[in-house]
Amino acid sequence: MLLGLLDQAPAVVALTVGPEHVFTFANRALRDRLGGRDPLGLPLRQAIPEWADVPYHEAMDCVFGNGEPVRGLQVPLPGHERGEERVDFLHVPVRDAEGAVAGVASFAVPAGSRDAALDARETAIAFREAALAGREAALAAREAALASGQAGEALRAAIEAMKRADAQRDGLLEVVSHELRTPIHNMMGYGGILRQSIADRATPAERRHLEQLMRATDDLAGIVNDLLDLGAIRAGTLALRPRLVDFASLVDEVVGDHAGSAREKRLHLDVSIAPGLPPLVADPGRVVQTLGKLFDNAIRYTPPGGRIAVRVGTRDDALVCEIEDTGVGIPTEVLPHIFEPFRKVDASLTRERGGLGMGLALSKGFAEAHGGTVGVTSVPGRGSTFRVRLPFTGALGAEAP
Amino acid sequence: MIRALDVLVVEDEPNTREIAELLLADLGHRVTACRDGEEAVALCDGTAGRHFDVVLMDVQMPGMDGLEAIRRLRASGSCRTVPIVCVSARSGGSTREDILRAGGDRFLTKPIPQDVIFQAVTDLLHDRGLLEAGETFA
Repeated sequence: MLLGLLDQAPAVVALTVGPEHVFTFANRALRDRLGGRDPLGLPLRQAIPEWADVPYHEAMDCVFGNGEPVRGLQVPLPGHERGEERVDFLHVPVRDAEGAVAGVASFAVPAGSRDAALDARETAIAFREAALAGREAALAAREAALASGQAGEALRAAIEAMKRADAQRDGLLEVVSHELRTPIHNMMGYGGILRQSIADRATPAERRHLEQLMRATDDLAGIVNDLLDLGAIRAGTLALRPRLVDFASLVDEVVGDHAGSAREKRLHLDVSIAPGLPPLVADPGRVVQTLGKLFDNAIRYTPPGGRIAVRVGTRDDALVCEIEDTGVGIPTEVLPHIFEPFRKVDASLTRERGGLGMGLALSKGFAEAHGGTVGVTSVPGRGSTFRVRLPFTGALGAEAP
Repeated sequence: MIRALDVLVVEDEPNTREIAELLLADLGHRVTACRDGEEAVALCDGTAGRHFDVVLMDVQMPGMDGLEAIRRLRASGSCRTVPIVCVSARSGGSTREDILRAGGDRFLTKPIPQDVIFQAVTDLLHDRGLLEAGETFA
């Protein structure tokens, strides 16, 4: 009943959960403002990207991070059809049963429209008072939105449902990946047998077809292994087998692996490695994967004739490897999210350039398992620089669980 | 140069088993294949147990799995010290550590090209002094 009332309210009313502010409730006034789009189930930045330039997104982050209400007066809000409009808004933290901040309740009315909101007394008055009286009113607003228990229950149920959906998705990925292992293994095996048995009598075309088949099998195996690694990273069970390694030779290996595809795109590769690098404690396979994924990306997103520079040096107790490209770059609003799995710069690039969007998430996960980091700076249209930092002894004590 | 050896393959999945048998026979090895841990343990049982130079073992098998089979093979019979290479299709269940602690010598995960498995066997047999310099498994 309460949600029904809120849905009809002329003020914008929304409930979100989690640090990404996933909408669990958006009333009609908000949907109208978005031109009929329903943000339900979407994270804020994806649901309403047009509000990124006003302090709206940041205000939500603050409320979720600090647990304090935030209000804004006379905030210009780009509308969908009505054009820009000024609103007064109030964001209030919503707490779960243990008192931890679980989400944010938001209210917004046209700025200075206190009299115009008469026909929606309950919400508008609650909002107006809340907006004027700060923290005290925030408590009232929270009461109004949630204390009936009904909305609180709905919120908790939504959080539970999201957790369940997450667990189900992870479980499904895990099962599917494992079930694919044996058939792919057998494809490799029979391919190898066929390669030997037809070696003498196959035509060049037949041999080429078999090689394509085996390359496709290798690609498939790579994807399955990536999925399993991603699952292990998320579960915190990634196994490392650290030993003393010579980082420079690992860089050579990665550069060698990518020389062919770089040549195909006429990309210049510059590698500069500081002399006298100390040996590194690391899992060499994982380091090669970390750099390999970044190289894949640099090659994929750099237009023909471009340049990829690799610089290796030390800083404090860590090895630092930079991979700089002259590629398409990463839009500022996407930058904070590029290490999230399955996310790409834009969907059209996915079709054009291929890949599942797991590479950067894996690079970061592998580096972090070594106690290191992967960071990025980028200028759209100019290029990107990825910086891998690996503490020289960070992998000590990170043995396989 | 390949040295012909007696190889025991323990694998419940019929295609994977056939691949191993075909490739190993092609390399000149004498291959015995069985479908689960119980059969493997029976083959190596007691003083009359068969002689093998190396065992290639699946980990997840119905009935007696690889982990239990390794424990039994290490406890008694003809395979107490024979090198055992495990190839697992799951990273869950028995882990690398379980297998190595039970007495397995190598732990590999599918999908993996056969030549990588065979190289691991060659390296292992050299480590254990069971191949002469210049000799290989594949």
